[in-house]
Amino acid sequence: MTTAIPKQLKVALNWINSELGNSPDTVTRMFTPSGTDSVSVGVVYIEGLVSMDTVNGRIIHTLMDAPDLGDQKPLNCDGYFRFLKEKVVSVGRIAELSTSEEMLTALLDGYTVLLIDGCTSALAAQTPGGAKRSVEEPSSQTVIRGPKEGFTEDLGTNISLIRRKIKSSKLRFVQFKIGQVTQTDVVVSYIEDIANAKIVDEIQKRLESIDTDSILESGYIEEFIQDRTFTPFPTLLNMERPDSIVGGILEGQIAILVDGTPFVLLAPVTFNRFFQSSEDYYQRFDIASFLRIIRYGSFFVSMLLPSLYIAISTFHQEMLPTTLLISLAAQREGTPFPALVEAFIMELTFEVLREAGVRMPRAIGSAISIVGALVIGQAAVQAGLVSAAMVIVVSFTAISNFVIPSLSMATASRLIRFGMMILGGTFGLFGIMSGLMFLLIHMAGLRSFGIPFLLPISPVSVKNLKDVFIRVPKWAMTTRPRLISDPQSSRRQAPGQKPAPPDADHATGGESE
Amino acid sequence: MRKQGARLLASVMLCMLLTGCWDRTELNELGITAATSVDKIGDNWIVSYQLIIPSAISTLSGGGAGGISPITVHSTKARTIREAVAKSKLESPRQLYFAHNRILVVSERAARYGLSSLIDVYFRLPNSRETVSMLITEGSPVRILRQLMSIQPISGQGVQQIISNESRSYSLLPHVKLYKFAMNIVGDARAGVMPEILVSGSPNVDAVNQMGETNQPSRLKLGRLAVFKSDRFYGWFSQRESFGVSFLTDEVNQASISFNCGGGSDQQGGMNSAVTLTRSQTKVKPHIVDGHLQMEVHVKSAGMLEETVCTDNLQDPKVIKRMEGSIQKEINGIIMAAWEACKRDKVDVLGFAGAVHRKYPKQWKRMKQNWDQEFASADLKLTVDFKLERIGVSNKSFKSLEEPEGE
Amino acid sequence: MNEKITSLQASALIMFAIVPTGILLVPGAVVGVAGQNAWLSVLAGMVISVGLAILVGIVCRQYQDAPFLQWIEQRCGRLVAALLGLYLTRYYMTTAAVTLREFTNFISEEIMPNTPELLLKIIIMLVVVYAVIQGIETIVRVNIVIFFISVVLMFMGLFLIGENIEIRNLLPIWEGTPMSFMHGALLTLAWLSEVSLLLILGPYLRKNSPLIRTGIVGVMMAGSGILITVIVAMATFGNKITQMLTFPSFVIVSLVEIGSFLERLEIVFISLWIMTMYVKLAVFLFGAAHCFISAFKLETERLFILLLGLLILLTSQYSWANTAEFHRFTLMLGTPDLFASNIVLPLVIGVVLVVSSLWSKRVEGSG
Repeated sequence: MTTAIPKQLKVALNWINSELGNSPDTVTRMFTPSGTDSVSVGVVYIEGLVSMDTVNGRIIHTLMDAPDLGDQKPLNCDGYFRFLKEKVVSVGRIAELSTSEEMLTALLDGYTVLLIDGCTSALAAQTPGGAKRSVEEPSSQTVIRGPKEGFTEDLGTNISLIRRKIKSSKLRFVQFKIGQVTQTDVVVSYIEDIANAKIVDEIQKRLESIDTDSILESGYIEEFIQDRTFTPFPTLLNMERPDSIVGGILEGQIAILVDGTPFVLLAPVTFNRFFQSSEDYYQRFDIASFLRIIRYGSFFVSMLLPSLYIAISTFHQEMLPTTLLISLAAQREGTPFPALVEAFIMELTFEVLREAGVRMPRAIGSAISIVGALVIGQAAVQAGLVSAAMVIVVSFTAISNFVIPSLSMATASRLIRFGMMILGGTFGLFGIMSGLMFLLIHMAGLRSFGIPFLLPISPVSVKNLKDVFIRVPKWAMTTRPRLISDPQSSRRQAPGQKPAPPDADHATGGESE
Repeated sequence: MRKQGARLLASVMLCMLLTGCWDRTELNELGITAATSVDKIGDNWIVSYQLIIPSAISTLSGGGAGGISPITVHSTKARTIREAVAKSKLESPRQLYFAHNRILVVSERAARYGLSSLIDVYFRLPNSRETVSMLITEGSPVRILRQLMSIQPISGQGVQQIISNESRSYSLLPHVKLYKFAMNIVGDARAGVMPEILVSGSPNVDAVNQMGETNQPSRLKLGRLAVFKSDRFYGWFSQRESFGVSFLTDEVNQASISFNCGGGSDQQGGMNSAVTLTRSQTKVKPHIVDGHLQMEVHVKSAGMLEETVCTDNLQDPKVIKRMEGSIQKEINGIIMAAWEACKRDKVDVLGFAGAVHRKYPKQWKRMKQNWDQEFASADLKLTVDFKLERIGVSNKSFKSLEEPEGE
Repeated sequence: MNEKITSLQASALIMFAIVPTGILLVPGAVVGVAGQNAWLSVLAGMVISVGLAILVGIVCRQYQDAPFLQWIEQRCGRLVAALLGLYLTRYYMTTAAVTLREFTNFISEEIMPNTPELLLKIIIMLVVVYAVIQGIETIVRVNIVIFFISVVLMFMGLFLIGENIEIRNLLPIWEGTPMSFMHGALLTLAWLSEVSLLLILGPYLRKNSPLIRTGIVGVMMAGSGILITVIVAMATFGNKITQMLTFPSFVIVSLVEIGSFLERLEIVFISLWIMTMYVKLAVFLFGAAHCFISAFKLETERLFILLLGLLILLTSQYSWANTAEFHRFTLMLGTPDLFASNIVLPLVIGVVLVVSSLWSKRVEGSG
């Protein structure tokens, strides 16, 4: 259902105005450029989507000052059109439009549309602009050492952030428009020959099959393309840091950028990927490995600690050292609720405080949540509602939860925690083990774009294990992760780059060490 | 399909929540026992429990008022052990919990009757630990449980610490855990040992207000070694004999031995020096010579001089040699005392039966019919080898400095 | 990207189809029969079972790609395949029911005496059915994770109980009659004969996997697991006390005391063991479902898995009135059944194979 652009300028401008509902931010202007007397030109743009400097300086000003046409006048419509396109409008990206619908799309994309009286085609010049946030330090994924830039809401900026880090001609950006109403730009980015072509195809296929009216955030995309919905575990990674995304792309993963959000998706991902921070690769490998193990530990603590506490203190007291048992028992004297109920009260209280902390205005939010936790914790213990040990357990659980670099994985453990607490409170360690087994089966059955979720651990891939629980030194990571990256080009760097001090005197060249 | 599964799961979950939790016991519903004792009077087993009062302990450690005893003791009586334990429900507000039970004190009376049913209870019930330390006492074992200890508020734990420290660093009496005891009495020798615990002095210290004094009139103390034939008590060994048993069963880790350093300078003739054994190893080799059993025992030990008044030059190898000789004689005496005691009672607590069984499985079949006799008629060929490895950080004895200088 | 099972994974799966109940029950049983010779018996059983593994591997090599029953159908006709499928379904179901019973017996005797067994069984079967619905590859992956954890924990356990071990309890080496020795060996063999699982697993393996080696490695790993447990149990308790204990392996761990703050570690080991038990049950339910479904060429897998799971649950709950009756069943019927299904069956197939290949050669020769 396309309609041609009306020949008469007035009609065309009126049509645009009425289509956009005579919106006050639509600017239509009609004038006669210098050098001609007969041709009138119309300029249409939407204020706020365009840069006024560009529109005024590059289009309106140049049109008004257009060079003399000399002998060739009077020109016909096409001739003048070409003249404008090739000689006058000094803007990089230009498109020729032939239908009214294209004209509207171009306007809404931030183009400035030029119409010539009597022509059935229009010229769209890209004049991007409008209010946007500058590149700032990411707020949710901070590091101590490493680049301080974060993605912004603007797609173009985000693409440039990636492009600037990978100066390779193989870097690909494939654009999609998803959302019938919002017409959101979605860009898939990968490196050809490094990314696995099958997975690239799969992602493109899934993106193309999305049929919805709106995409406001990458979370929308995630829910449409993930392998399985009924799972607490995320199968796509979202990141705010260009260096993390670039790191993923260089390993053969595929980034999905969505206009309007700083959170970029990365797929396919495996379980271990949620415990890696880009900082791991900037720090020394020993501390990075140590921190990684701490993160895995924290994940399990945040998932299991309250349930283990309940199970051990109500089912398997023999495991506790006698002295600890006695002091725990002394604390529990006079506590009215069973351990399970006690834990539930404290956990729910914490979740309420946490949610309140997010909702409250930033200025008072953190203060209130800390005070709330302290006051409630302290007062509840003193009033004999809960035991002190339970407060310690719950607060340590909460703190561990913040250690996990990926927020989506952290929330998974928060939900699982409650289920585990019920199991631990009814069946002790047997219940917890059954729950863990269920989770393990579930995770082993999960796939992220065809890649097994537990990849380097099960099925075992010894080569991939170099970057899971420990991070080996950079020179030892000679290959890219198997299965994720293109099987044909797995070589990352030359082997044998281990640095060693020069053999000063011994020219015999014996192997060092 | 998925929906139905979820519904099924939800209903099971709900059931679990509604019906409650069968094996759940909150910490404040537990009566934690630190020590148990078993006595047998007539047909009845009398089982006593030393329960920990957690709140009293925490106020004690917090420097609170005190005045409450950290432990409470009560006894129940019935025809079987478990019935007696069950009867405690008539008088105890809390469910007795034995997993943290540290010591098990049996009375001599019960031991004379036989401990099979007691051991069976321990192996049958998962909650009770087989690593509990076993002790025996003359008279009523309740006395032991009621006795308070000054440093360690829970005396059950305290006694276990005493026996485990003692067996590690003094080696007079062995630390006997229940499963080891059970293994020994069903082993080839069918004999076991158990250390004695007693309250020395009187009256008993069983009230907290007596604890304010710096010296209590009575204390818990380890005594002799009880010897068992099968599961029944047979007799007592003295501490010296017990020490010998430790040597023969290779259970000596560290020990102190007093000896006479010899040499001309000594006038008293008694013990005037002491060494501490830092390691000791015993090897037992049975031989059958002309149908007669001969046990070859080789003790190899080393130690460090800790005390002496000998005026000899301690850096002279000859002096060291002489000292080693007299220590060897001393150890030899200790071991022979144990050997004589074993022969006297015809009880093989030394594990010789196992050694013979391993080396001569064929002859063992004949011998085991009448092992106690065979054992009593066996010969012991003992060699003791002691090395004085270090003499401490002073080269001369202090005594030698007192003597006038210059010759 | 359809990952098939690797040889290592299959070996580990065979191991965990045997070991969980193996380390729990074999020490008590074999020491009870063979006494001081128990560990030699286990060793002998292991050697014989390697032969069985080779036999199973050879049979399995004949039908690398098609499922077992399909292959039987091609060679022997529809009826034989269906009957065999039904027989194997029954066998795997019985084994699963017995295993489930052993599992809940242990849980309720050792850690949760008051919880109704039916409820435990429901929970267990829910997880197991979920695993089987996810497919054999998922089970295998779960198994590998557990395999690594248990190897680590096993070495840790050995290190910790080292203090309580007295090797001289294993001496003298030979004592008792050859009969009792053979009895012990056969008992071990009965346990290890579950290597015939490879018949079902074979087609799921990657192409050109060394089937015989897979079987041997699986049997050796399982056998050494059992052997280590028997040796440790005997060295810790001597053969008499070991006979008396129903679950010696966990009592050994409960003896560990590190200082006065780490004791009663058996719960940690029991927890891991619970996970291995799940794998074992999942494997057998998978076996039953696989045989049933491929014997009758059914389409709706999930429903039948669920039904079989329910059937196993009911069988294990209501077939035996008490523990004694259950033990008699496993001894009188269970062991012969194991022999028939795991040893006689592959033997028969092997013999038929040899005969038929000879036959076809003769036909070629004459023709």
